[in-house]
Amino acid sequence: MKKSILNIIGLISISLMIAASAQAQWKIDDGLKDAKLKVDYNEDNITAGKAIYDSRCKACHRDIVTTEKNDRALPSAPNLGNKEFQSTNTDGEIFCKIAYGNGGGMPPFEKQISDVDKWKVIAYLRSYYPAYKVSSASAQVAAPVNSFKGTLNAIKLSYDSENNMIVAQLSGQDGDGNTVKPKGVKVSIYVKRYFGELPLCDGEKTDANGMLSIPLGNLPTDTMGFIMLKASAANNAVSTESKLKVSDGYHWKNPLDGRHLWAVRAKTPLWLLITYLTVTISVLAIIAWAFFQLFRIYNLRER
Amino acid sequence: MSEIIKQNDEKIMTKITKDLTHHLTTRPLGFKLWIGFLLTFIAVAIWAYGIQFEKGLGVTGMRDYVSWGLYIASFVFFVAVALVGMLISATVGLLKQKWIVPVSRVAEMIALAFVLMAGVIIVVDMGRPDRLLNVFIYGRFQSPIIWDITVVQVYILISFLLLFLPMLPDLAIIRNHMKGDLPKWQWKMYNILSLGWVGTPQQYKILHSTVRVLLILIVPVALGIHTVTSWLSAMTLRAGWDSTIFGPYYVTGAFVAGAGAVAVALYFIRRFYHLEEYITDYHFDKLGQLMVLVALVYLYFNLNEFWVPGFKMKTADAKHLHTLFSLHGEYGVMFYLTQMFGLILPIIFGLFRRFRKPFPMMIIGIALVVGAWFKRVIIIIPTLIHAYLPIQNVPESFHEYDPTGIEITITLGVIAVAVLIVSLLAKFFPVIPIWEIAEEKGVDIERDL
Repeated sequence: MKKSILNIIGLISISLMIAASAQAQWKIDDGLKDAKLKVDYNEDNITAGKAIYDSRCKACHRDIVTTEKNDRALPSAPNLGNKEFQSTNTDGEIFCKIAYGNGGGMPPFEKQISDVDKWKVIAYLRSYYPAYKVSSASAQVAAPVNSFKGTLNAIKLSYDSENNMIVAQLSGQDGDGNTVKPKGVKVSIYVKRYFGELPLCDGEKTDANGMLSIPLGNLPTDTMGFIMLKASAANNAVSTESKLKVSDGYHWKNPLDGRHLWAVRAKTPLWLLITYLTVTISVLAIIAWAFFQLFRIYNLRER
Repeated sequence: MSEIIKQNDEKIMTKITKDLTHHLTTRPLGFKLWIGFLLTFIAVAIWAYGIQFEKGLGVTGMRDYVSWGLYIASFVFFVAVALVGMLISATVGLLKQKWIVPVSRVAEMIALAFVLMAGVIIVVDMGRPDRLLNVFIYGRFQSPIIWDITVVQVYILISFLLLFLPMLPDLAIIRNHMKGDLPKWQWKMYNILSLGWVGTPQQYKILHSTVRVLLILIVPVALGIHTVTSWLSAMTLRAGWDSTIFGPYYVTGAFVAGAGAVAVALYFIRRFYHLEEYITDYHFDKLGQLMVLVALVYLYFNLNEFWVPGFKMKTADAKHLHTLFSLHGEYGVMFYLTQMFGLILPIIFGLFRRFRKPFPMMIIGIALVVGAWFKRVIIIIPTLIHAYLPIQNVPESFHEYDPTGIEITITLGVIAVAVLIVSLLAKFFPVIPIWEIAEEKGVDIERDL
């Protein structure tokens, strides 16, 4: 019964969304129609754009993956990495879509995201579109997104107990097929937990040895001392999931241990036990004394 | 000269003894009918309990929400009435009030009978009474239930001693003077129970010191029994019970109920045993004054208990109080009737001397006792209906509580047992301490015996 109600609610909401998107109207300002990116297309702006995307857009648009066409159906918002979207929209059009929404599923962000930040988000979106040409207007040569050219083979995680650090080691091949230690590759590491993942690092680059070390801090582990980690490099080119032992185990204090009001009888708090026994035994002793007086009276009877 | 005094003493003593023990020798039809009436009630209740024992508590109106019904409300009522023993004998007695002499034994009889039934009705409330011993084997010292069981048992013992000890000289008088007037078994019973009392100064000394110690001991124990009974509720996080004044609120309420019960018992004992000479208007007047005093204190606690949360109306409290304060609420009518007839009107009438006469006091007493019982129902049941967290997926009927016929029958049966015990104690034992009355009239009892 409950399940079918949920199904009905789901169907209704999906059809409402479809209806809404059918009515959706994008509003594009004439002056912005052909506008080019108004911030520099560089590493800093792309990283800043990602942060905004993660907090404002990701809830609906999810991770961006480079595809030919939009691979997501309603109720998910489109995958903005699809080439069709990237090639048919100018920077200005995307700007207007962010600002005004479509009156349907896409809300307006005109006030919530400043104009500069909107451009940074667009810069981030464009980083998934290799064919994107930096406009001459911006007159800036974009820094390369990845300084490493070649193929990544694997990412491996390990725990450096001496420095209490999580170490990511990348391996790969350069253009000539030689095994190298990829330098300057962006790595993201997350700790898996209930209700979402905890980022340890997001887009930090590997050093000359193809390594990235992230301090772990005093992160709680499971009772055996393990944490579950998820890592990826160069926009999911390689990824891994590992279970690492980083401590002796998380020792939680069982609230049933020790003497408490809520514990079993054998663990009665001492103050309570002493009070109860003292009072009860003293009162019973007086009563026993009174019964003994009855006996004394009886002993004084006429014989 | 001393011969004349002695003869005079003997004359007074003979009259007192005759007056106060006359009822031991008679078996009037009215008494037999009364006992028969009570026994019929009890027999029906035992039959009803048989059904409950066989089929379980499902035959009562209690369900997941209201798991404390009439039984526990009656338990609180029994404990409350039982507190009168402490109020009359100890509190007023230790203040050296002379008027309690003919009242105190009746109070002790009521106390013993009602505290015994408090223990019985707890067992009645158990779905599996065969597991009663588990309470003692596995009970947790952290639980107010264990404290309550302990203190109820202690109170039974002290009530018994306080009834029995001061009766020893009377039993000896009966043994010495009434051998011819009584059936053989009855005289034998007095002979055994008098423990060979001869009234030597030493025996009197032991008696006085023991009674005095017990009278002091019963004050904290009686406060304890009803405070712990209140904690059964107050230590549970529930709207309507979550109160810091529940202990004194219960204790003062108990005094009111007990004063009422004593007034009723005194009236009928005085009437049927023709003791007008010993239980006079003066005693009812004093009892009435005491009743007004404790009722005023109880009224003060009622104000605090209902007006303070009623002023704030916190969410859960508001829901609970609405059922009481609104005439459309489930317990609104019962609440106002109880407060009116069980508290406010008795105070108003009790303020006037003309209503502190035997008959009006009996009527007021009945109002107080019946009101006290309904007040316990109001304290226990509405709170249970409004849990903080509703129980999921229960039938609609679980949200209400309608006591079944079987439940009501058993409850009335247990009350009948309490009344029966009081009736039998008052029939087979002197209700007024002979030796204390004699002492009051200046008879040298130690020599006379």
